[in-house]
Amino acid sequence: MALNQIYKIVRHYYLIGKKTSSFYIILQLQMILPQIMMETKAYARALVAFKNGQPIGDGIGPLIAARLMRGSKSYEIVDDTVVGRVPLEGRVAYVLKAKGPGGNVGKPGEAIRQILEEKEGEISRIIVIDAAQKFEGEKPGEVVEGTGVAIGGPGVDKYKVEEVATKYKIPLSAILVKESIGDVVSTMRKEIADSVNDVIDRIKRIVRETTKEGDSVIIAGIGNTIGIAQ
Amino acid sequence: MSKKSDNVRRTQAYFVSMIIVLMLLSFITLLQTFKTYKERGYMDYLSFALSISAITLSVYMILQIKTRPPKTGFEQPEVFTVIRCSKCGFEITRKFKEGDYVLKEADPCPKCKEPTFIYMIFRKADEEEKKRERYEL
Repeated sequence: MALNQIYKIVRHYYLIGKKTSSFYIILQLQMILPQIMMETKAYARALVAFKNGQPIGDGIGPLIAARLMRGSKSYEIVDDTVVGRVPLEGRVAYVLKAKGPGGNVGKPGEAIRQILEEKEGEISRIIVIDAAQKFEGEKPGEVVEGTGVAIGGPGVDKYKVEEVATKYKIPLSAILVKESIGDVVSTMRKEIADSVNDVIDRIKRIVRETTKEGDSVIIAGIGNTIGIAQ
Repeated sequence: MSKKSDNVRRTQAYFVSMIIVLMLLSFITLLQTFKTYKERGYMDYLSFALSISAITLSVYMILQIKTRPPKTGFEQPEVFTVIRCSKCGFEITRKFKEGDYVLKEADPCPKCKEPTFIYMIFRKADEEEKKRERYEL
C-alpha cells in the first residue's frame, strides 16, 4: 500500500509537470527523489521480511518482552495481546506484547487498562518499550529513556494508557531504541537486535530505583511482533 | 511483458543505428573539411568544430549504452538465525530458514544435549547502508 502511494504521488508530479510543461514541478520531484528512493527501498525490503516472517526493526519492543516472558506462562488478556507474570528483581512484572509470531501489533492500550482494572490500580510503574525514529547521524540501536507513553500510530492506545494511568496516578517510563525509517520496516538489523540486553538492564535499574520489593509493574513491548513468539 | 521488452530492444537498436549514422556523417564532414583545406588552403573551422563535437558525443553515447545500469538497492540482504542453548549458552549462527521465528524450539544442544531455542534473527547492514551512516562533520 505504501509503495503504491509513493508510485501514485511520483506519477502525479511527473504528469502535472509534463502537462503544464513546468520545469519547476519536475525539479521538485528530482530534488526529493533520493529520499523517495530510500523509503521505497525500505518498503521493498519490508515485503520480503513479511513474506518470510522475519522480525522487523519495529519488533524490538515485542522482542524484549518475549525475552523477559520466556519460561513463564502467558495468556491472552485481550484480542491479539498476551501477558506473562514474570518475577523481576523481587517484584512482579506483568509483561505484555502482541501475540506472535504472526504480523500483529495487538491492543496494548486495552491490555494495560485491563490489568490495571483487575489489580485495582495496585501497580507501581508502567514501563513502555518501543522503537523511535532516529535523526541522520545518530547510531541505530541507541537506547534512550524518557517519561510518558511511547506508543506511535493514531494515538488511540496512547490515550487509553494515559487516561488509566492518570486515573490511578501511576508513573510512566519509556525506553526507546533508535532506528531509521528504513530499519523500522525491514528485517531487524544486528545493531538493533544487540540492544536487547542493554534495554533489559535499564528496565531492571528503573524497577530497582523506583519501586519497592514486592511491588508490581507493567512492562509493555510495543510494535509489530512478526517473527517473534512468546 | 515480452512486448515491452521487445520495445526496449528495438529502441536501443534504433538508437545505436542513429549514432552510427551520426558518426559516419561527422567523419565525412571532417574528411571534406580537410580535403577543402588541402585543395584551396581554406579551413572551415565551423564544420571542423561541429564534426569533432558530433564524434565526441557519439563516442560518449556508445560508452553510456555499454555501461552497466547502477545497482537499484533492491538486492536482498543476508539474514541469519542465532540458536542458543538454554543451559550452557552455546550459540550457533546459521542462515535464516523459512519457518524460523524468535523463541522457536530448535535441535538439542550439541554440547550438553539440552533444548535450544532461536535467540535472535537479524540481517547484516550492507556496505552502502554503512557508508551512508559514516559521517564526518
